[in-house]
Amino acid sequence: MSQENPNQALLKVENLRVSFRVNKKDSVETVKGISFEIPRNSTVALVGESGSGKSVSSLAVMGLLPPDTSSIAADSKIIFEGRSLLELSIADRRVLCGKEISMIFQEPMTSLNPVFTVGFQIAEVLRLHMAWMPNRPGSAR
Amino acid sequence: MDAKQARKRAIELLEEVGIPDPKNKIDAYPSQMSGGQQQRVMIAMAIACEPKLLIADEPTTALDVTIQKQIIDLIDALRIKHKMSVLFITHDLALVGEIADHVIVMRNGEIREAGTVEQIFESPKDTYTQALLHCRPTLDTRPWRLPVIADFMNNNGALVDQKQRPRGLKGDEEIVLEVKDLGKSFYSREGFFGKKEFKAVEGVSFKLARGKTLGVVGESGSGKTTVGLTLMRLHQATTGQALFEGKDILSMSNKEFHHYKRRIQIIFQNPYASLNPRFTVGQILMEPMYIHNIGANDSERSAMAYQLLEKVGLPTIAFHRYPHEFSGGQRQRIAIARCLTMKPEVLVCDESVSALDVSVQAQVLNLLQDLQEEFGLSYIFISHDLAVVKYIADQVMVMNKGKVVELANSDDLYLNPTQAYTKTLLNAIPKGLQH
Repeated sequence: MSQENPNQALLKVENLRVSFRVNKKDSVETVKGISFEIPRNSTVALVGESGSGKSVSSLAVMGLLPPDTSSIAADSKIIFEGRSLLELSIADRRVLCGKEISMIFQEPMTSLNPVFTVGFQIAEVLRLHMAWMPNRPGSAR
Repeated sequence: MDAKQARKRAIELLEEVGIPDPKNKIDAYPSQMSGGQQQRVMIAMAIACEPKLLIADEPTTALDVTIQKQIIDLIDALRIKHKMSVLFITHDLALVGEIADHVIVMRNGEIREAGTVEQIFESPKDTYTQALLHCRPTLDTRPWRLPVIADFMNNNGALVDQKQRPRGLKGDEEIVLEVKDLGKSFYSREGFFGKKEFKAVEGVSFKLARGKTLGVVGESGSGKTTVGLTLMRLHQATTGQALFEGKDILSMSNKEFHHYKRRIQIIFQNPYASLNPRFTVGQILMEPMYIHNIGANDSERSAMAYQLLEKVGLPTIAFHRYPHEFSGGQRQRIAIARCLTMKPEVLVCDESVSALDVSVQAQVLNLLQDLQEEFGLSYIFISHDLAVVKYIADQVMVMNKGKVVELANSDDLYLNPTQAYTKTLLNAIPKGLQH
């Protein structure tokens, strides 16, 4: 990861620590201070066995960790195109995630809503995110 | 963007992710699509707003090997077209070699190693990375035992040289089970009186030799699971015979079959669903012994259960615990121990290692081989993972659309496939590094 110019990284994760509360007093740290970068136009693979913290790290980037049981350490940083994601308001974060950062999950059977047609579900994404910016200049369409 | 534009854009997106006939499919419900198509719809939703970063969390783990390759190729093509970056999360290192530029290896919440894909595959520095690369069975070697992560971590990465395990049939082996012209049809109602026949399995014949393994491979819907279930009489066969010691187990009465049931057992794919959550492990192991009158009394039965726990590498305290207290690999071993209580001769393994992590998968495969050597078990090993089947099976049967495409000794089949379908399947296996 070191050969890339750090100014060009699309996403930069610095010293990410995530812990989960197991009961009132104790918590377990599942991600123990990881740092990595994702350069533009590239594929980065995060490999590990179950329990390695790879999914938790990606949920932290998406802002999808359960707020009442998990916490991200104060000195952790997630920088996306110069913006510090962990310092954004919840509303700003929601606009960004889904539009500029999006996610595909493992089980299509459980992540699609069975009572809506696929067309409706795709259009829903467009309605939610594209209403603000219907014609992005330079869009590849 | 109004509703009309959104719909138009949705059709474009479906077309872009390769859904056939998008104008009609847009009004389909998810249940009317195959798993691969559903994943394509998920991808369409993910790229709908042209994101700069796409996070893919195990997007292909639930899919067949040929569909898996299509989805990977699609993600890569879309990445290039839309100038995105992709964060690809997976447990499968072989898959990574096909798609990634950079690899980050994680364990227990820490990064063990990070580098370009060439660095990681050609000169991994971390022992854990080396271990991950070696525990997955490969197509070109067949070591006596698969190395597990612990071997590497304890020996500091030194790989013990192992002799190769010969596989394949010579032709003079004793045959335990002979299946002739097996067929299974399912019927759906059509109109008032009509019914529509769907042939899930048709004209399947094979011989299973004692102490050997028959691998059954094919995509989902190929009928491979139906073959296993029909042999267990969990489905009633429509046609054909299965001769066990010369007697047809498919046509005998339930009472007569009861004596044979003990000798043919099945291990299912999902150890989370196949163990009764309200039984302790001890009860799980002893229940089949009661039913089949194995052991004279409870103390004898529990002694046998303890022995089996040891055999499958579980601690004896497991006896009083419940299934949810164990990991996936441990549960699969409980399921194997339960089968062994009946001292079966034929064991059907239906995707038994597919849901497990690579290192646990290696442990379970080693266990199955040890048990085969010790008890002379015969396995019918059903899997969509061709590398695993190549490793474990003496003979391989390739199925497609309910029919046998090819049946041969595993080395012959992998080196010289004669059928076009087999070649397609083999080409879809992730080869590790392809740059």
